[in-house]
Amino acid sequence: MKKKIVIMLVFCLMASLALFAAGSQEGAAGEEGGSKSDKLVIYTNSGSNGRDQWLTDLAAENGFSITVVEGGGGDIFNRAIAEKNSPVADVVFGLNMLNFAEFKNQDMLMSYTPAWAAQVDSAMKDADGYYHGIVKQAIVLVYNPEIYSEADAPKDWPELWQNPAFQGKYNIFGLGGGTSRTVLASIAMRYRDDNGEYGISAEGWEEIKQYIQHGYMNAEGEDYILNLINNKIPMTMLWGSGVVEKQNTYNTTLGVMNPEVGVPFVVEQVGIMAKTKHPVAAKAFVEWFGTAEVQAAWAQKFGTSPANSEAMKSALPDAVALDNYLTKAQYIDWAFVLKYVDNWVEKIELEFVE
Amino acid sequence: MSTHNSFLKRFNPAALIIYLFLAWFIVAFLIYPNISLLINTFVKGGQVSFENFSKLFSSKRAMMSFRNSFLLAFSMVVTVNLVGTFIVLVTEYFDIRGARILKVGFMSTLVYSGIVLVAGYQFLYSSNGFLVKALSGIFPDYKAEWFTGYSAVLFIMTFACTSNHMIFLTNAIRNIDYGTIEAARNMGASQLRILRTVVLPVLKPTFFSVTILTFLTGLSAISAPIVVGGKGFQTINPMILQFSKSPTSREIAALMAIILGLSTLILLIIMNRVEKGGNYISISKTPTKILKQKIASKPVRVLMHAVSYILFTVYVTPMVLVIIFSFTNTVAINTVDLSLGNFSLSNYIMLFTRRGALDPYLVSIVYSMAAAVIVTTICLMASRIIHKGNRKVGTLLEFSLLIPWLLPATLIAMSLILTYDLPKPIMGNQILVGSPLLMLFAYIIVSLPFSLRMLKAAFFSLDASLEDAAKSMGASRFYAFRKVVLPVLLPTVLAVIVLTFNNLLGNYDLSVFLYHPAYKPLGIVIKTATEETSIGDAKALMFIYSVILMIISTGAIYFFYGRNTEKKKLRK
Repeated sequence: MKKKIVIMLVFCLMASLALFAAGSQEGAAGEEGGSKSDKLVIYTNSGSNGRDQWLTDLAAENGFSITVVEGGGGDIFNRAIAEKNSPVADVVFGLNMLNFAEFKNQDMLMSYTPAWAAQVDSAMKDADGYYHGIVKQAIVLVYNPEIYSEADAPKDWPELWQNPAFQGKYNIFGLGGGTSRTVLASIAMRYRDDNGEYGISAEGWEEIKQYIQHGYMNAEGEDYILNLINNKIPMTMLWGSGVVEKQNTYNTTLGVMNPEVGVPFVVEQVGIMAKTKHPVAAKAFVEWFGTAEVQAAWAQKFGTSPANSEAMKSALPDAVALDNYLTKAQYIDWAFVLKYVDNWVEKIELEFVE
Repeated sequence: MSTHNSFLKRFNPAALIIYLFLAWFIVAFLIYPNISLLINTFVKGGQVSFENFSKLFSSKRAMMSFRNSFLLAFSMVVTVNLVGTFIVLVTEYFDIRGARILKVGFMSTLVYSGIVLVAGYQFLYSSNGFLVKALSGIFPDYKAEWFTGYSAVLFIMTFACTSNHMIFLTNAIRNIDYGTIEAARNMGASQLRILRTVVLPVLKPTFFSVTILTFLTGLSAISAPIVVGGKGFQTINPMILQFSKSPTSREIAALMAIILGLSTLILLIIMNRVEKGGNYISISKTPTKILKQKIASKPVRVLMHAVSYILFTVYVTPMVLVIIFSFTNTVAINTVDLSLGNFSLSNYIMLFTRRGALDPYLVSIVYSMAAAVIVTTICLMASRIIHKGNRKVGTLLEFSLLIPWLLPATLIAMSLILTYDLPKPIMGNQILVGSPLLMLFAYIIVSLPFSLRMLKAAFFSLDASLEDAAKSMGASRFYAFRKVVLPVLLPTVLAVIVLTFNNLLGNYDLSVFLYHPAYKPLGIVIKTATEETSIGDAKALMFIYSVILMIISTGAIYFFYGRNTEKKKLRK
């Protein structure tokens, strides 16, 4: 028994030493400026299921040496913010415009306009060149077409709670996630009032209360697509690539609502950290990563819709079809949403959710 | 000055180093970061804001959630103690047929924590789950919604939280002096009376600890309420967790955490008072293996057997289902479709043939094991001081080491980053952000309270005369500790190491903020691969990872614990 303990202690000592040594090495490598082949640390929320490996390999073939740090969107965002005094990341991608706008507010980003930025719609990137769109995601309401014909189905979000026939029939995701927040932003935009509480009129708050209280909130792990198919809850919010993916997985067809005001788009961005020690490599990487070739390859491999209009042409057929159907993007003032969204969610969670 | 001198005189240099180390550790990792985070959170522009108090107290939902959390915690103290004590008695004390198999079933929760548990229970009990499907096949008008709310949460939590009983109560029961039991029987005491007056009192310190742990587990429940709680039974911790992730709402999250923390503190103080009221324990000095008691009354015997096997089924079913369904795909899992065509090894093969697929396992095993051993060492030193040293120092030490209980993991991670992102003298001006050590420190920090609580209980059930005897025969303090005290504590020490290791193995909440780019731990891979929005076979992957975690945990238990207890039996 004593031997076992000694082994454990030695093991721990060695592990700690190894970790410490690795840490100091890392520190020594950092050099101002640097070259294209510098090691880069990339933060992303789009690294799961081999995407990080795929990107690392492709980058290596093109002369970049990258390490991907991945995690849930909110977590990676919080981590980057917390580390702003001594950032570990050189480049961040995959987080949405809201997140990047906050980075920009906190002076964490470096302005850099890659050549491919011209191929990205101006609504999908920062006007000052701090971040640029790479993947766009329409946020939609989907319904069971066997329950609602296209004529019967709701035409816009407010119908869900205003029309008694739809009350209690639609699913709302947790308000911590990007999809649910975007729907909230889409609704809030209609009741904007700079004198109202958190920028929303009293009438707007009443509408939002109705929206929440007439909705169904799926429990964690509950299969809302199955609920939709079984007519338990025949409508749910969903993100664009999810529409394509769920239709294939469940071998079913989903009706997609296409409101007259347009659908809100969440656009995943890429940006460079202002304090990076490897600006040359980081710029070169972003310049390469956003090109139509790389984005098209990513889209074909993982079913996304690139923000790069050139790359969009060679995305998967289903994604292209959806893109052609949802032609109009709803105008959302992201600066306004960014300012208040956390307060909205807090208020909803404390006062409206039952 | 004179007190200072006598204080110094009582300690040798080694003890002084230990004291200094503990003091530095507590200030650097427990007090400084957390206090600065709280100040940052509550003081805005030099002013303390009270706005959030009214926000919080006027929220019906928040108040109900608080109430529910406490209701759950108190209920669990009753149910978990009942079930936990029952399963320990039938496997260790009473003569029940098939006790070995029962024991394996009851121990399953040891390898079945965190995400594994959620996956299993979701699959079995959720409204689209296996049980609903199976029962509605038998009863056509069966209502799927019955398994939700308070009773459902309590049911799941009760069976998920008996691990501590299984380990620590078992250890304690094995230390009972069998001679006393025999003597009592010879004097004509009934079985019930022996149980009440001889067996249970010996278990008292352990009962204290597992009761506190159970209460805290209930108070901070997350998974069970969000899976089966429904609208009717929401608890506070899921809300704290969500709010702690949004910079704007962090204030409310901290406020809620502090309210929970203060109630925890009050409970701990009361429990400590009661506990100090006297633990004069007679544990066996001569190892006579306790003989299992045959239950005299036949109806009771039959009943005990029946209940044991029903419990066994409850324990084992989720795990077996997870293993079976890990060979299928997400749709088959969601629709509970057992057709043969759904079974394949493709997901397993994909997970293990991907390049670099094994690295996260190695990283998590090394980190978790290192943290488990270090934290146990620290808590051994601390428990020793609490047990034997100056009383005031002991109390201070104890409450300091319990601080991590008061704050959610997200806030602990944040506080470390925000404090050590710039050179600070207390850390020798080393920046910890970006260092591989940061996550190790965090793992150690969050494991402190559990480890301390269990080791402290072990110290208090220690027979002081053993050590005194060794010392009076001329053994040095350290020698007596190493040769006499440690061997008696060893089963508990090993158990603490294993349980800490298992708890940390799949950690996500801390890791995601702190992990070093070159060392990605398993929890990150699992969480991102199984997230709703991730591409791929999310649910199926969750099941596979659950199986893998169970295998690693079982391996750890066997390495530390299984072999050790077997050897001990042989020696006897």
